[in-house]
Parts: sequence; C-alpha cells; structure tokens
Amino acid sequence: MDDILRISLIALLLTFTLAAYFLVIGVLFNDRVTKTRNAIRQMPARAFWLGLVNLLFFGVIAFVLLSVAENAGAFVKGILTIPALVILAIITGLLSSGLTGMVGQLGEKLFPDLSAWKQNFWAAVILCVACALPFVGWFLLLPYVCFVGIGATILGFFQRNA
Amino acid sequence: MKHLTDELLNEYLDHEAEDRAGIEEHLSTCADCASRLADLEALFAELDSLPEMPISRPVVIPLAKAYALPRWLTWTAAVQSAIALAAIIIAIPFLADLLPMIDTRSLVDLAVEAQSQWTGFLDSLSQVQMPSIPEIPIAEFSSLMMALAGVSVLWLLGNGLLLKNQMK
Repeated sequence: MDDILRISLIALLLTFTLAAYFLVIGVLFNDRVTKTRNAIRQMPARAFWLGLVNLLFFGVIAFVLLSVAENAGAFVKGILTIPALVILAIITGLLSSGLTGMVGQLGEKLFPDLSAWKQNFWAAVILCVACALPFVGWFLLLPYVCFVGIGATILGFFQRNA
Repeated sequence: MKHLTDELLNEYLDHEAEDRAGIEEHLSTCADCASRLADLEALFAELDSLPEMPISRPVVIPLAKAYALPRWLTWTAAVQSAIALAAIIIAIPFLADLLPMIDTRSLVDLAVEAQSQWTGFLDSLSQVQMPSIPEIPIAEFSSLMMALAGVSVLWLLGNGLLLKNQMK
C-alpha cells in the first residue's frame, strides 16, 4: 500500500513538474515552439519519420559512445563521454521544444475556450497521464509523441519567418 | 504702515475677529484696506443674491442600495439559518451520545504520520538507481566504422528525402 502511495505521489509530482516545464519552455522559446507547432499542424507524418530517423541515429551514436567509454581508460573515457553528453543534450533540447509544441497543439484542440497557459497546462497533464498507460502509452504513444516532436522541431528550423 | 491681511478682513466680515476695534481703527485711516473690504463685501453680497439651483441627480451614492443583498437571498438566508439552528438544537443530544464512540485522532498523530510518509517518499527517491549502460561486445574497429558509415548514409538519405522540399 505504501509503495502504491509513493509511486502515485512520484507520478503526480512528475506530471505537474513536466506541465510547469512545458509552460516555461513555451514562454522562453516562444518563436521556436510556434514554428514547431506549425510543423506539427501542417506535416505530422513527415515530422514523425524525420524524428524517427534522427532520434534513432543520434540515440544509437550516444549509446555506443557511452558503452565504449565504460570499458575504456580514463583519457579515452573522457573523450568519448563528452560528445555523447553533447548529443544527449541536443536531443533533450529538441525533445523539449517538440513536446512543448505538441502540448500546445493538443491544448488548442482539447480546450479551445481556455486561456493559453491553461490549455498548455491541462494538455501537459493529460499527455503525461496518457503516456503513463502501461505498454500502449509506454511503447506506442510516448515514442510517437517524441518522434513527432523532434521531427517537428527540426522542420521548424527550415521554416521561413511569417 | 502694515495692511490688514485677507484672512483678517474675512474674519471681520464674519464677526469672528478678536481685535475688532483695532481693525476698525485701521480701516478708518487706510483707504487701501477699506477699498479691499468694500470689494469683499460686494463679492459676498453677489454670492448671497445667487438663486438656489436644484441638483439634477443625487450626489451621494446610495451605498446601502448598491451593496444590498437581493431580497430573495436575504429571505432564503434567514430561513436557512433558522432551519440550521433548529437542526443543531435537535441534534445536540444525539451528537453528545455519538461523539465519544468515534475514535478521533489528534492532530499530532496526523502530523507524525504525514512526516513519516514524506520521509519515506524522500527515501524512495534517493534509492532510485539509474539504469546501467549494457556493455557492447567488443567489435573490431573496422567493422564498427563500417556500421557507423552505413548508419550515417541511411541517416543522410532519410534526412535528404524528408527535408528535400524544405531546404529550397
């Protein structure tokens, strides 16, 4: 019973933390997120495939670098770990912008009458809860959302300013 | 020669000046002050002669009316209060019998339990272990490079196809 309570508490905390994180990212990088949202709205399929290609490629490279670094000496370990961490940081950045755009897009469709920040907040909460669904959420919805988000962010880099 | 101030002249006209005799003595010798007094008297006479004008709308805001509760709410509230009071009076004997049977916990117990829950939560957070990275079987450098080159070509092809129209 205690474990269930703790896990629920952690999940609740993470959900609200993520919702706040997406709100802050949306405010700080408004232009980038707006372009990401445009890309999600206009070409979700292309964003998905682009995200899949890039996330798998850079993810595999970072994974290989970290694995090799585990078995290497101190000097080589440092040399291999730094680019791996840089790649992970870039992926995290792309993912943050992409998921924020995805949350904004969801909020606009789910709660058209609410104010912008309430739309984003509740959409983030709903997305977190949906992705917490065992198996379907973990292995289908979450990867889909991540791929589309990353792909849309990359597509956003090639968008012209309005 | 020191002239009378406007305040003194006003007080003289309002019959509130203390040294009335001194002011009159000064006025009898000073034509300038006598002239100012005459002007003031004429001004007050004109003000007095103005007709009374009725005010077109009330100046005082009817606060009581603005903040008054609607009539139905007042009545409803009064009736509800009366019913609630009657219910409490009726319920007191029953509650007096029932209350000792309820096992109430003190606030201290609740606080201690909440604290232990919070400590347990923090403990569980501190015990979370990051997944360790599995080791990759040591491959020859050349085959690793070939695999990397193949994956890179695939990545370039994929990006090239998907971003073909975007990069124009």
